[in-house]
Amino acid sequence: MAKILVVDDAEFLRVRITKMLTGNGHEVVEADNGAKAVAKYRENRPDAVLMDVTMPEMDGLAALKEIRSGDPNARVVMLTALGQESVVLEAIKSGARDFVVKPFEPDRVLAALKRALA
Amino acid sequence: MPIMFDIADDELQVFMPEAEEQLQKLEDGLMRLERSGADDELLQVIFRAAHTLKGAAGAIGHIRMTELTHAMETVLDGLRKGQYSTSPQMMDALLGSLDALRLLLEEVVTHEVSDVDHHVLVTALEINMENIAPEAPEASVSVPTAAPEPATGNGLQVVVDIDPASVASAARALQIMITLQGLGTLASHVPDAATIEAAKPCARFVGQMQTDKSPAEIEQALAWVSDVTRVAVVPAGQPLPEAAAPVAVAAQLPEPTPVKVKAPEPAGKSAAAPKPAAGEQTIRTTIERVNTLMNLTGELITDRNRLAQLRSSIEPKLRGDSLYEDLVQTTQHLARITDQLQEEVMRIRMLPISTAFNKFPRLVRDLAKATGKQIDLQMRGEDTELDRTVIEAISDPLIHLVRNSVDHGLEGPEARIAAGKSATGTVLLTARHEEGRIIVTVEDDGRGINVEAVKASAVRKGRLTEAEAAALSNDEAINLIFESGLSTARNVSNISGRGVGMDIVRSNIERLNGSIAIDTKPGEGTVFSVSLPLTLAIVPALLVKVNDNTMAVPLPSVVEALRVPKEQIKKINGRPVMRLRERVLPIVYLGEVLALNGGQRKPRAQEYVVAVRWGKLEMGLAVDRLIGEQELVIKTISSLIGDTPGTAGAAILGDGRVALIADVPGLFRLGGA
Ligand SMILES: [Mg+2]
Repeated sequence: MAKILVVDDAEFLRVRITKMLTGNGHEVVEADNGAKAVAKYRENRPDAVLMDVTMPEMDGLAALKEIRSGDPNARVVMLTALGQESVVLEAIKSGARDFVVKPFEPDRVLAALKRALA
Repeated sequence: MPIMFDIADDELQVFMPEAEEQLQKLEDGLMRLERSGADDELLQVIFRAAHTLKGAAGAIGHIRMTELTHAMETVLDGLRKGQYSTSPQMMDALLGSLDALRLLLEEVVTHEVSDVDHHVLVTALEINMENIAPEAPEASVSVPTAAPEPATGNGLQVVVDIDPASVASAARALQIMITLQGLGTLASHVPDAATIEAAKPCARFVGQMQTDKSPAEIEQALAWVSDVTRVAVVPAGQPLPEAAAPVAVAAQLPEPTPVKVKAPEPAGKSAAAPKPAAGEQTIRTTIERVNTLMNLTGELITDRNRLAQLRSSIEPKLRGDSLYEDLVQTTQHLARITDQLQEEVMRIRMLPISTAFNKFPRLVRDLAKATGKQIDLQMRGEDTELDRTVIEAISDPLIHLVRNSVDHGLEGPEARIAAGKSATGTVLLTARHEEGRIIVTVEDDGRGINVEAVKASAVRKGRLTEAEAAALSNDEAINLIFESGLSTARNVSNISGRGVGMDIVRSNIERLNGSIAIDTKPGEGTVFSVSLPLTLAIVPALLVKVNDNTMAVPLPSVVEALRVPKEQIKKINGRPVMRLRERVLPIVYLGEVLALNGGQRKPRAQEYVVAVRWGKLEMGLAVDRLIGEQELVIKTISSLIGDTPGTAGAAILGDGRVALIADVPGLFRLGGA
């Protein structure tokens, strides 16, 4: 069991990911933008982060950098979409462990998390 | 054949409001974009809305919706990056796609395939990007077949195959590169860093490295990268194996132990509710649950009223008894708490009127295009809150009023300039609270209503004689536009023609215990003011006795209740009237006009008269007795619509008896006032 911070501005996706993670025995903390994600990370010290890219306030890339500068060991998996290749490259260079492209199969997210947590 | 999507019923309650909210954001944004031009923040907002919709559509497997939102997003992304600017064709393509998205979204609920040709729309969107040099990566995929150069010493050659179906293979190559750099010295690799940075698709990564790690360790490390299909690690100089070793499916980890802990996360919002203020905690619930709460509160109010009646009927027997005093205190406290409870429940159901107003920018834009008029739509008081049932009920009448203002009120640009006005006409929508009601106005600065034309039309259609028309006051003549079949527009355009008539607008508003009034000035414009209760669930009413019946007159219509000596009621032209201050008030005997049983009314020394108002008209309802005010609980709107002329349904009173609700507008028509 791990504590996962799920960051996405779309509530429906958070609900769906949360359902999947809790169904697999994980504990979930949610945030709906990058700025809140940074705060929740500090507060909750999750084992891993699932991070959306396109969000209001602070986007996922900025939040990733912010989180990694506070905790160089932070394990962040990006949730990206088609057409965001350059963002993904930037994210990997900024220390993202992995990325999963939306729309995703639940197994893919779980597998990426497993790898990130290893 | 029904179409199914990958979404559970409970998820639907989050999905639909959120998708509708994004569609609205998209529409608002596109309207602003068309009107005021692009700015960075606006483009970000619009882009995000399209992007979020794409994500949602993808998650439930709605392929056509995903493709359409993807095409929209791509156009918007180019705008955002300044690769091109908007054009009328682009706006039409985006707005047309938005309309299609609404239909595609409905499919999620109806499971019926809509009549949307998304390919046509996608093409229309893509045309907008045709002149732009494609930034897209080249189609060719780099697959190095041989090692770039042999590595020396205890070097290793690493060959990694990436799933050709990977949607971001360059990023996988980058992950592989970074992983290898962490395991030793990566001397050279294909594709090189610059190629990877250019996001070119990559099916195979070949690297030469110096490391003290074993081939097995390197294979193990690379297995963590997603989309990797095969890894081969051989000593430098050795030939590549025919096929690299298949990667073990995601490395085995101990299964997580199930645990029921979930952080109590107050994120999220109740369906379609306004955004809570920062820091406020919210929960999600269903409309049905709130409605049940409202109904239960309604029952409680009925019981409270009944309790108050019981108390007053036992008062003569028990006054002075300390138990009775306790009862009085308790019932009073209960009454206060019930009031507060009702208020709080009402508040849960409140929505800002912006949820009704927000469709108008698009409507007015389309109307302007269709009529060739230039229109500036302004809105004020969008935050004004009212019960969601009222919002739903007034939405259509408001649409008709706005259509009417554009169609009949506003002039075309030439006519406006000829009249010394600006070429662009204004339609102003406002909302505000006033004395426990909501006032919504639809105002235009157009030509105003031509009273003489309205009268002439009524005469032409045989509604009035010339003499009757001449005798009408200005207000009475203007109110003729609410009569069925009377329209002064020479040609019924396809805009107003599509909607309902003003007579239906008025009767729909009145069914909600609302009223509509007109204020018009020739050449300057017209204001329609709609006054509505904040809720349809509870109607405050004045109870009166007529023959043997209890009748309820909705308080919003009541001007005052009077006791009038008989001789003050006179007859003019054979009709009973009385003088109320400066005005002459026509009197209607409620028992007679409604033909209520109870026989002939006896002459009496004084009459009880309830002065009621309808628009700008007033009349007096003569009744047998005044009982008092009470809040009537209405469970459904349909129970406000009665079958008997002059009545608007029935409500159950505190004592369990049924009261007929007076339909004041209907009484004005019956009474011929
Ligand atoms: Mg997002």
